[in-house]
Amino acid sequence: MSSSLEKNMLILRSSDGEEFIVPEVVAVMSKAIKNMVEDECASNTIPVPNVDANILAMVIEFCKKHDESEAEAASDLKTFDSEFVNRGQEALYDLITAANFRDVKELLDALCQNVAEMIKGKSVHHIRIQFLGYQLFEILTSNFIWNIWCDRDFD
Amino acid sequence: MEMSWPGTSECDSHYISPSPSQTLMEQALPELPPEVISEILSRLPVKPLLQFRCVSKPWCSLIDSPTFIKMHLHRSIQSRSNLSLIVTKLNSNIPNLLCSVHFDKLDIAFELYQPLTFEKRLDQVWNSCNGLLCLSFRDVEVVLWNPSTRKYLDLPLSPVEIPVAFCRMFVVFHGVGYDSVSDDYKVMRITQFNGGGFVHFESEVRVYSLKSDYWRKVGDFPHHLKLDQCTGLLVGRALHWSVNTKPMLVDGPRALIAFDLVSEEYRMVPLPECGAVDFHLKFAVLDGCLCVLHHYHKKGIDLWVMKEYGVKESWTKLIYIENFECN
Repeated sequence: MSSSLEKNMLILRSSDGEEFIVPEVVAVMSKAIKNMVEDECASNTIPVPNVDANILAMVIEFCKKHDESEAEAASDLKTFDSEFVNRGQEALYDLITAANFRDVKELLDALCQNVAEMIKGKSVHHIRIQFLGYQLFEILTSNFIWNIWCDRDFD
Repeated sequence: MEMSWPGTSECDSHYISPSPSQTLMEQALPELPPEVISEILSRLPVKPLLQFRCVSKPWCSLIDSPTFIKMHLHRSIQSRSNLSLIVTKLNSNIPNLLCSVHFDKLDIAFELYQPLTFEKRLDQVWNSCNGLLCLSFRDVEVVLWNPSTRKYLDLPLSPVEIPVAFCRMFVVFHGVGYDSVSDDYKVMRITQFNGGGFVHFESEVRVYSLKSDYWRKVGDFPHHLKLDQCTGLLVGRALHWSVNTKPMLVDGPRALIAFDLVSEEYRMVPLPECGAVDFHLKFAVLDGCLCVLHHYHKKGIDLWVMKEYGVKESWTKLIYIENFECN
């Protein structure tokens, strides 16, 4: 495979073993990959642990768009970003983790901005459930105990 | 560019765009690493941020930590978010009632509960630095106030030592700034003692440092301050004061003196050259750059900007507004 590989192309291997051929300029938007390439410790294939094929494909799509559209209007890119990050819970979490581990600054920025917009108007209660994984049960029980405490007869 | 898809048939259907009902709120996110949490929170406005302090103890200590506060400030400056104008409300029963106007919603003004109200009446709002306002009451009582968090700090009193020869009158000027080298907020106080006819004057300058909580005496201010333009302009790490180079003339030639908050030295800032003489001069700060307004009587105003700080050649005429009248 490596013999037929064009110059300035890299192979990224996802955690579940799929391989993606991407231009080096796109791959090095991840600082972690950039460091590997610069230190020349990368062989033909760069493993990307903790990131599965679907998420890796999304990250590559994002990086390609950002690489291509340097000359494009910033507003177009912004629209692309806001559409790109508008995803379901699970994908959003996986993307954040991937962007954080692989150190893809632009992607992490767009994702964090998206989550910030989402939680701006939310109550503390919602934030607790969402970020701290407080289960409904815990909240109910703690409220229950609190209610008993408040309703106690102090005579 | 080509992308190889060894398992195309399998992975097509995994992540399709979410169904409309699957919102973020229905499910808990698995716990995110703390650095991502602070990345997200640093993008929030101050109000939700203060509310989210009671989400949990770790969140509270994160939001209150100096590192996070600096990160939030840095991001706000970079993205030009969380900006507001502080203006004085006219026609109100309370003297010097202050209002805040957000840049995003310029048509709505909020009344601010400022710390100097009844027994201590606000005399002057001097300037601001990184969202901190410098207020004063009766010349020497100074308060640093953060209108976003409503927290404030009374600075210790430091009485003015009036020289025997100048018992007639004195004026006090204040200004706050940030010393990035020692990571400290500093308040400069200039007291100017005037003899008869403004010919003789002396000054006393003290600098308060937030870290040491102490007013320290520094070198005297070597020029005569203009009374009508008494605010210190903060550009970079220096406070700028408008002075009159010939104090015996009421409308004498102007100059701009910078006080470097790091080196604690004075220097003169070069002003733009222009042929005309018949104008009033005003100084201001625009987008972090010093600017000068030349107001030609009954004609209009020129706005000059010093694009590169301290470089005389970088003064650029930005705009000319015709038929502009201002006081």
